Amino acid sequence: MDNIISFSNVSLTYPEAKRPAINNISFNIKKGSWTAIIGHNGSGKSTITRLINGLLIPDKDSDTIIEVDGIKLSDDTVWQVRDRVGIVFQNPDNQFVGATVADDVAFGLENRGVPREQMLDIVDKSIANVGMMEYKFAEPSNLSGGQKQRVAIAGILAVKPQIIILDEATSMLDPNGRKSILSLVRKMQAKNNLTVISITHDIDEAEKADDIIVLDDGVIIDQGAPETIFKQADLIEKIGLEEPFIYRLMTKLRENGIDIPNKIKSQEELLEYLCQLNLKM
Amino acid sequence: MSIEFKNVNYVYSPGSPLEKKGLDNINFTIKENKFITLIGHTGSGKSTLMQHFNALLKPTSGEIKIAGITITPQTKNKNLKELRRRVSLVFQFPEAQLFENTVIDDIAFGPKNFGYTDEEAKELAGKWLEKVGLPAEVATKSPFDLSGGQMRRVAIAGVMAYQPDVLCLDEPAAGLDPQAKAQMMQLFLDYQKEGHTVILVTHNMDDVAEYADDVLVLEHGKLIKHGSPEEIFSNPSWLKEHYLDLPTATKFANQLTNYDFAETPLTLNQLVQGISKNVKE
Repeated sequence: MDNIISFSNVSLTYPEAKRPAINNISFNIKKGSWTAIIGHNGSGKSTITRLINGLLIPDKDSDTIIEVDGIKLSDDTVWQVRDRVGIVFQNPDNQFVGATVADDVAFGLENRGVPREQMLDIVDKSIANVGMMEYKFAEPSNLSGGQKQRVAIAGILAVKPQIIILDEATSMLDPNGRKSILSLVRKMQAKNNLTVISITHDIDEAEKADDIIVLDDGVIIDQGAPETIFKQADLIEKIGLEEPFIYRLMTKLRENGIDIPNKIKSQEELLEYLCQLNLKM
Repeated sequence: MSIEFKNVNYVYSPGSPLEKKGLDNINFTIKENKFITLIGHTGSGKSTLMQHFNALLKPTSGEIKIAGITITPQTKNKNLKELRRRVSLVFQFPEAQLFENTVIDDIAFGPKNFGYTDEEAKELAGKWLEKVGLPAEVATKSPFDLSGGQMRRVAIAGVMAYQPDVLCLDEPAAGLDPQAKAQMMQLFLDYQKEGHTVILVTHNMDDVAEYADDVLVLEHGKLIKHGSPEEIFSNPSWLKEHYLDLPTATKFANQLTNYDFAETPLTLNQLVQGISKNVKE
């Protein structure tokens, strides 16, 4: 697989800040993959996403390179890059422009000069996909937080970007709503070879990624498959994430004098072990 | 004293083509100085109900009693200042409402607005800056130079600093990392224990199980259930019918088929105790 995003030696210092928010980081993201960026609040996650499409400009350094889909990011190419990258921000109010849900979803398509006939069709499909058809002519400002997030995602998926960045984009959805939206993005990923970058604190969501980038105070402290990242309990704690439920349960059970073998790794194994334990007694 | 809703209805844009029922004949009484959670799906009317607590929205018909004040459709905006000091709302993404030049001024704005002197307001602001877990050195920074999670804390400190009797929070932890979230929830719990009412809008059933004394369940603008977490979560088939989740610990307990729990565990600690009892008997 080819790399669709590649960062070499990228730093970013906000004006008047004492320390860089992002400190000399390098990484690659493969085309068509799902990458989760994790780390505590203020670790630089959102800053990275804004560097990818040139919303923020990195500190000047001759070694610094940001490449997106083979295009080196510069003043001349920033619009080409932005055409390829769709960002869904955490607070959807920051990205509404249309007077109705349908207008809002149409905005990106109009901008790209999609013919009207085609556009109407894409708008309907995109709104239906996120389960918001009932609200097609509603004013976005009258929607609830979770509904707004659905519309924001529809607007980005409608323009079929090559890369979609979800910046805590489902944080206001209920668990079922979140599952359905993520599975929609997964479908689009498979169908269009979409590259997904998701910024999340939801460990269950990160666990399903192909690749995880772990950030701490502006530095990448690990990158790898979920299995290799999540077995490091100290790392998870350091970055402010919570261990998955069954790990917390096993720790507490052991503290209460119930012996749980170290080989148990999944909920199913733990359930089976506990049921057997209760039989023997 | 208690908070009372009597036959409360709310209609959005009445008489226009966009007319929509937001609240449908809501009746309940809750005791003050408790931790209340408000649950329901995206669009179920949670935020609409919340905005009635301090008359940002006034009922189309019916009557509300809260913090010793009665709100009816005829209530005039003129006399609401006292109500707003006693009952305050923290919306989703409260950081969007920051505006002052420095963090400390932003937190002090609320107390000043409600009659504290400049000096008292500054002192309260300093105290709450610390209480929400922010380092003293951010006091003189611009709130816009902080990370998203820090901005959220500033916004919440600004509301808690004038110490309302009733604090209503709409998904205050959305997008925060788990450690930050746990600190925030502890802060609200302490606040309630000091003798205030906390009303929390949430999707997270683990939080409901962990913190709530009383739970209100909304669906399509109707109050479909009101009870303790034990009562709400004692009926899995009812919850399923309404697409509501069980707490993680309860789901796990329900799969331990050969265990006998005297009371259904709702939290991790209750689950650990329940398992211990079973295997040690």
